[in-house]
Amino acid sequence: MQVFKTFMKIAKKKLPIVLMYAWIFIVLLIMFTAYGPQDVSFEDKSLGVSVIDEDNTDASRAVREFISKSHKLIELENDKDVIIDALYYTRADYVLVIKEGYSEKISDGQTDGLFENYKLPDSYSGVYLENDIDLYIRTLTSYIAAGNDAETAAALTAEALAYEIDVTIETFADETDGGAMSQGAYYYFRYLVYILLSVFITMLSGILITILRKEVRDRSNCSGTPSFSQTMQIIAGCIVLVLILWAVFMIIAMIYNGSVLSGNELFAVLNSFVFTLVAAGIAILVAALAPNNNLVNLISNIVSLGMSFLCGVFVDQNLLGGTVLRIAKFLPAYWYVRANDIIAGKSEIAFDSGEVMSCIGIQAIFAVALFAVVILVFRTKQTSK
Amino acid sequence: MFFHHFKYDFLTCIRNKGLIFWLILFPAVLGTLFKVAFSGLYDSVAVFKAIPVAIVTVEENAVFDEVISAISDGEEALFSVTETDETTALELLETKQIMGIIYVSEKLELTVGSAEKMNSSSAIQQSIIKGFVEQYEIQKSIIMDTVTNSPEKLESVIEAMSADIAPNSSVPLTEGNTDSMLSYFYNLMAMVALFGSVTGLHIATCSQGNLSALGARKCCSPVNKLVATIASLCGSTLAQSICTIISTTYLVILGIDFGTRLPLVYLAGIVGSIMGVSLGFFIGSFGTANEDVKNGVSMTISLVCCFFSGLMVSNMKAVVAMYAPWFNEINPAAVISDAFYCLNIYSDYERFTEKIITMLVMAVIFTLGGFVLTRRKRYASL
Repeated sequence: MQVFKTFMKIAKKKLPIVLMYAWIFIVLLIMFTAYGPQDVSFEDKSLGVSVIDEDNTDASRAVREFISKSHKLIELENDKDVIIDALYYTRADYVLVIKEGYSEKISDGQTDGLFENYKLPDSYSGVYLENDIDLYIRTLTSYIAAGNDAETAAALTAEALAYEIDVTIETFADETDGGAMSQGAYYYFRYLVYILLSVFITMLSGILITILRKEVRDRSNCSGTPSFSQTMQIIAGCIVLVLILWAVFMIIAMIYNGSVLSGNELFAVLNSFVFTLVAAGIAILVAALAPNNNLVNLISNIVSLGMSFLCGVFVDQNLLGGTVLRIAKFLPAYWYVRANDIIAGKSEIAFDSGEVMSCIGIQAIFAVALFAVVILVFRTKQTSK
Repeated sequence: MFFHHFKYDFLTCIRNKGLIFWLILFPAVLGTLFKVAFSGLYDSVAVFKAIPVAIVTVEENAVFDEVISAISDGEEALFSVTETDETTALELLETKQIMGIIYVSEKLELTVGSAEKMNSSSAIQQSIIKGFVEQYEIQKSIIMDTVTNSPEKLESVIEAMSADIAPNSSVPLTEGNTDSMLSYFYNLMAMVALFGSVTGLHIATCSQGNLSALGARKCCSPVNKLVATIASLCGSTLAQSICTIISTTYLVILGIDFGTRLPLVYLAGIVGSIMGVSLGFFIGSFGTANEDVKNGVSMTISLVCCFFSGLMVSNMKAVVAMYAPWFNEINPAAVISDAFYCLNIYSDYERFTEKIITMLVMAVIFTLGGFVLTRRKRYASL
């Protein structure tokens, strides 16, 4: 058990840095889930609109009131730089300036040049808001044309535009099967890819690089412990460490979810376990190939960030183009995210346990392939020595 | 003496082929992946295209037919219409080939897909369809009211409703590229600059007698420590700047739109590298932990800074701006990515200059901080 003990001793030494990683990752995970991409229902799809009222009359305030009924008003300074920043970083979707003289123009029946707007070019939100404003002005001028004064017309317009149609929302029967997974759990398991890859490459690779350093290996080789036993103890160390880390993340998942994982969430647990094996395989491969400990962090970032972006962890898979997805299919994280999407009912196909299991199966094949490569690399290294 | 240290630290850096390789490979690989993943993403998600809608006619409605054909015609069409039966329409809705089904009878009805699997732009598209149906119903009701209450005004009401109006004009936002996906590349460049902290950290370790053998050797040499450290930092910064220049050039070749002021893009990258190296030097000077631990700390700090600057979730900087705007001003990654953003978006140099000065001030603070932490150390035994 000498080698196993040494393995755990190094792991213990690396614990502070891993704990630091883990804490930061948990905070980031919570931020990811809170501020990352969310499901949006069109029923409450209100845009962030800033209304800059240069006219400041009852008529202009009525426009502001109309917009505030279906959108969220954002206060912005009337400064172009502030407006550009807000639009670029999507803090606001649309900025409407009610020009001075709006009230007089409306009373005179003029409809041109009432407003100015700032928006990202050709955006959906721009079209949405412009249709709303167009409807407001047409309705207002229609009431004025019907013989009402501006004030009454504004009141009638507000009343008319309060009308809402009943919309039937078609929930295709089989979609609800996947609904058993909570939104929080879905995002937790989705971002887990990034966290698992980063933590495993940092910790496991770090330990293995230390324990497999030439001087340490030479010293171990001349000891009484057979080489086979040494390898088995290192493998046992890896297995114990991987299981502990995975269990920790599952406990956090339960605390985060507020309940014991059950139903379809158990598929997500299995999915994460198989991906944990893949991540461990990648980490060991990195340890076999990386020349020293300093580079592990860089490699960890390339692998974890690259795979996360390409396979749909940070950006929804359904937003990525066909070519990207075709490339991503050669990476295990793609199958992990796909299985997770199907489990949560977010994929284009309905929940199907067979499909989920085949995604998990593909990851298992990746894991086996990775371990085969790892054995090959270690063998080659030994032979070359 | 300065040039001696400068030369040998520069040579040490560039001879560390593994580190240089990864520092250049990192942005090249991630930049290529970003390019593959995000090319066309902004156009497909945010740029308006005619919204696909199915029309199921339950009862003939000539007026509606006229309205729908008017708005689904031409280059600026609002909808792309498929007239079909209910079963086919539902199939199209399920496979997300259309955004909604309008049932046409005396009163219009609308069916849309559920919120599951929907993104923000699909939700807006559905809202636009809903707005159109409501507009139709509202205008119909105004006409009916006018017919009942004051039929003599009917003509002028219809005229007001159907007139060509232009109440709302757009003010051009910027001459730069407003594709928000570019912020991922800006943050990638910020990360490359902050990864320069690895070299800065190495200098700190190598100048302290209790942390490395080389440090012990340097401590007993009769050389001014400030001069030697600054020379070493300059050498590392030069090596790091070369990496940044190569990375930026690669991204430019890849077709990433950094705007038209390329020399300033390189300048921002180089100043970012200076800050990155000095940040590493500061972290390295702190405490007595070994280089591995400090490396981990430095990578984690870089990663967290990049996270809050929007490397993983693009609107994170806006979230920070809402709750803690001061953090964006002192977050090194946010300052670097802002410098690239300013060059793209603003035609003047005011904010760009502000960001460059912020980076230089941070670099000075980190360097002085690091030096204060390591100066006048005496070792009784090593």
